[in-house]
Amino acid sequence: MNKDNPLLDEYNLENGPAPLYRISKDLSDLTLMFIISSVVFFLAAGTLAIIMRTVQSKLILLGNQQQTIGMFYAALTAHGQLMFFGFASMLTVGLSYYLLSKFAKKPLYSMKMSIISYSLMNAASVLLVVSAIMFFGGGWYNLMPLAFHPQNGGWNIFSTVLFLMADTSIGIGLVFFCVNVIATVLKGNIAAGVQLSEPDEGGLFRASSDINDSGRIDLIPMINLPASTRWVSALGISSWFPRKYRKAVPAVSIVVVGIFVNAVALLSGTVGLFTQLGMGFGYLLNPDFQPNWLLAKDAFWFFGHPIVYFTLFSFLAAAYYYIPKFTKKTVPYDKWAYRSWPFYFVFAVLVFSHHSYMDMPNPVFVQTVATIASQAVIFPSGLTVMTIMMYLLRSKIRWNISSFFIVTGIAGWVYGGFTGAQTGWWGTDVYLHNTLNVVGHIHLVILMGSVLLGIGLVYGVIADLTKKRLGKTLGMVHLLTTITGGFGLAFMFTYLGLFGVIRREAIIPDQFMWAMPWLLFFALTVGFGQITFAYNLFKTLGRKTTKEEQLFVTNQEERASSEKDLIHTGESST
Amino acid sequence: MVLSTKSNHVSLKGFDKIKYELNKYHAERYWGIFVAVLLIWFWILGYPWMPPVAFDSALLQSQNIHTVGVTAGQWYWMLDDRGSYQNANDTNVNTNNNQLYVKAGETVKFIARSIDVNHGFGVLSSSNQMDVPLFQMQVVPGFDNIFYYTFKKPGIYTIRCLEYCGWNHPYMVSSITIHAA
Repeated sequence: MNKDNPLLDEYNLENGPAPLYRISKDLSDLTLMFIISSVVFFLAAGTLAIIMRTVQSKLILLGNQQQTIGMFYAALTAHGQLMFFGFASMLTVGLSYYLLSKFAKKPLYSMKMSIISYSLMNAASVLLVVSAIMFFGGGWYNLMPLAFHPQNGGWNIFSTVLFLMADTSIGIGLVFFCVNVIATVLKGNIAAGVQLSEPDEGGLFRASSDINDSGRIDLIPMINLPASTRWVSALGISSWFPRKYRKAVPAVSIVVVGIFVNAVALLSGTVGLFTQLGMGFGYLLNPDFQPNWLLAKDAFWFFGHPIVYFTLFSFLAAAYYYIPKFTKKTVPYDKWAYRSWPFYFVFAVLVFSHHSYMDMPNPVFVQTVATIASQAVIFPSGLTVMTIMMYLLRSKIRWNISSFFIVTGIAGWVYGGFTGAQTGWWGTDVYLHNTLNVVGHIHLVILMGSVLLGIGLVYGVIADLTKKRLGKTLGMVHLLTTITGGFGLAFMFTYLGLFGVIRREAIIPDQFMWAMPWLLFFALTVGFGQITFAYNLFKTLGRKTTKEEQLFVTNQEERASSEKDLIHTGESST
Repeated sequence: MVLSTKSNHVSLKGFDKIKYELNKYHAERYWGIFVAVLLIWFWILGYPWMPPVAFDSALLQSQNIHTVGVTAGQWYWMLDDRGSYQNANDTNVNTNNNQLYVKAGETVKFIARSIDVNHGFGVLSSSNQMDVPLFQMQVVPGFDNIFYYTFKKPGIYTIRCLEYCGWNHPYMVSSITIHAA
């Protein structure tokens, strides 16, 4: 407890104290720009969701039924892609850049690549909005060859081209991100040696006194690791070594491990995206070219499932730092926290194949891999859940907006995981595939999982980026509306799917119309929450720093100065 | 309660003691083993449901296979009866090209082809417009998409496209009548 300034303790606990390493102003500004862009596209994608809800509730009718249905499918297409790429991926990329620099204690390999990834992702999101205005309705998952066969006066081929260009832009932007992250981790010095703070029995939950917290990232030295050791450390593989060798292999921060695994898995996945897009462009330019459409679908999902995990991994890894900080505990090297990550890396990619369960012509080995991977990916998730619970159990966690979002995000992800296990099992998927049950699963793991985690981090990270705190009251409104609306929406989807309500249907039969006003209500509740958040964010960014907030800045500088003999400073960006 | 080294360990109570014991007795290790065993068991349990395994089993158990051809296009279904086979390779077939005549208890081999885009061949569990699917499969263009199924009860079953295939997708509905044995 800081007796001279009790506000500082409150500030630290309110926002989760960040490592003292100072990122460059450029990176700080870029991270903020990523956050702002992601919020803008979140609102845009949310508007499209409201359109879908109102069409299914039969509240909107354009010139004729056909146009109304077309609007529904255009909204569906753009909603999915904008949510994944314009919002969730944008937020993940921005926060990953920030977290990586902080926890590796070094500047990014290339700021230029970071800016290029930002520009490409924004350009792609704008193209998606334009294609939606042109009523492109090929589905957000772009199941070819539908994009090229609108029929019956549907969207025109130019909108298809814009959509494909948007996906190409996204793919290239994400490749820049992945390469930038991998190069940052693998080249030059990096903060490593966390494994030396591996506790003895019972030491795991030691109360933090900061100075004595040997797991504290500020106290970890910068080391130039050889390439072979660095790969092993960055993928979390060294956590599986026997204790003697574990002590010998310097371990990087778990936050770095999560981001690195994320980048490597996604980079592998982009091969699938470009394969699918190549087939699409080939068919567009030469209709006599008949691609293997099953391969195109498998290729897309080879990217499509890693992108889902992409929106989770960086935030999940960061939760291993922030949750102990909110409980005022040490952040030790916990081998069980690290042990999940090699499995995440492997199965996040392989699990793509369960999207093709209903594709009978797929080779037998693909079906077999699908079932094994869909079960196996639960293994690292199970380890993660246990470790997080061990941190939380009777730990007197400081409940603030940030910690509420993070812990609720973990809960949402866990529950979503159960629904995923259900649909990832062939015996149940034959009934549930293509129903709203799958939509419920996605909204649970993404909206109530990854997104809540990411938003929780934003509440914590904004204080470090801007030295200002987001408003608490508006934050509470945001929290309550998002949880109420989000879980309501996801549970309803899951429930309706069990009764056979089919997904991607513009027209719902009368027997299920009772549910549509509820879905609209929950969607509007979530939307209201995000508008509140956007208002809170822009209002905070626009105002001046308060006296209390300025005290925090001064204290951080004093702290860094007084501990300078103890702290291993990272690398400068200049 | 603050925990430090074993030598000056302070006595614990309640949940703190539980947490200490969990850590001491390697709860995460045994939890990891439990999860792994459970997942392997689930996979073994689900193995017979995998299409290649399930279909081989259906073929072995059935004496008659009734083949129904399904053509999917934007936005219609066309079913044609390709007759009953004593076994999969028998060429002495009984065909009735004018009308689909499938009986309850027969194993039906659906061979679906799409002439344009991906469709979803879904047979629902009743004649309702929307209901729990009895089974479904994707109809991928350029392939024969095959599914074996044995209807246990006679009646009318809705066939619905379960894969969004364009603006008239909601209207891509048909039905199949299963006659009493």
